[in-house]
Amino acid sequence: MKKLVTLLSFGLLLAACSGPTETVTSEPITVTMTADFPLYEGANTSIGEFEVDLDQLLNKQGFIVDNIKNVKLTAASLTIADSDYTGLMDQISLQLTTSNSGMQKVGLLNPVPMGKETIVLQMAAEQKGLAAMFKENKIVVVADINLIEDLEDDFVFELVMNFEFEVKP
Amino acid sequence: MSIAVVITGLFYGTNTYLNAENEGDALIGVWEPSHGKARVKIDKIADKYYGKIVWLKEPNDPATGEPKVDKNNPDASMHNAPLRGYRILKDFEYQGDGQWENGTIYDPENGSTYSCIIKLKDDNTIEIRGYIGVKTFGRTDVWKRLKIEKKKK
Repeated sequence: MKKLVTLLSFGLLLAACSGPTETVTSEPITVTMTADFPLYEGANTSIGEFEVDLDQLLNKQGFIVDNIKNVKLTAASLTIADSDYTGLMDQISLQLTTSNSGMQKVGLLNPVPMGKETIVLQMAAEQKGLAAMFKENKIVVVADINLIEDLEDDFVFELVMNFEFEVKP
Repeated sequence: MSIAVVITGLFYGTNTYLNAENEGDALIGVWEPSHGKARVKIDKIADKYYGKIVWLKEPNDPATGEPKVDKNNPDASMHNAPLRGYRILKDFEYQGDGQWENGTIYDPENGSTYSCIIKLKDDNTIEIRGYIGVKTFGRTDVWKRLKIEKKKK
């Protein structure tokens, strides 16, 4: 009984320390992703990056980064800049990384539907370490794409991402 | 200390740093593990090194006839990720002396991720050691660099 009381007290103490959190949906982040020429049939890499501005993203002034408890990518979609190149990519995997965090896979689409202007990715169920990434200045977006034929041009697309933040109010 | 000495020191410091950066790029290229069943292209993104599968000896799953996917990933939502293009080496940082550390290697055959270090043995040979917890308990494989000829038009 004494052990149970001790455990319950410890649990209550932990709950009190962690405090209440709220879920905030970020403003959409748009990143221009580029895979540089020359590109060959098969696996290629497209890279983009964005600066982290939490005040703007969360519509809050003076937001304290330590108040971020968790971050999740809830939606990602892309539009290929040159309509001639729609249908050229048949698979895509989306990852995020920073200088001090490990790369994390956050999205995927296999196969990519042909002939669509906007392509919506499937989100990873497990997304670890995104909160730490948003405590840094810059996040690098890496998309591994599979091209069905060679391309003598850059392959460019606009990626729009929506994140959900769990924060201390 | 004279200004000349300070400037000279800065020059040599910067030069040493840049040399270390370039030395790390020796890892960039296409490599073949000893089993010869795959080829891995290592590139550099945001000052770290990553390797993805660019070729598979057996690209299709014999059971389905479809291109192989990451069916053993512990995250079931990623089971449909294609193995061709999959990043199995992640987050390696150059430590100097022909060694890259702090990275991981993923084994698609069992869905496990291991800590990993890479050592350059010579220009065309690397040793990749995957381990759990302590470096002593692990397995080392030797990878050879492939010379890739660009397609001619």
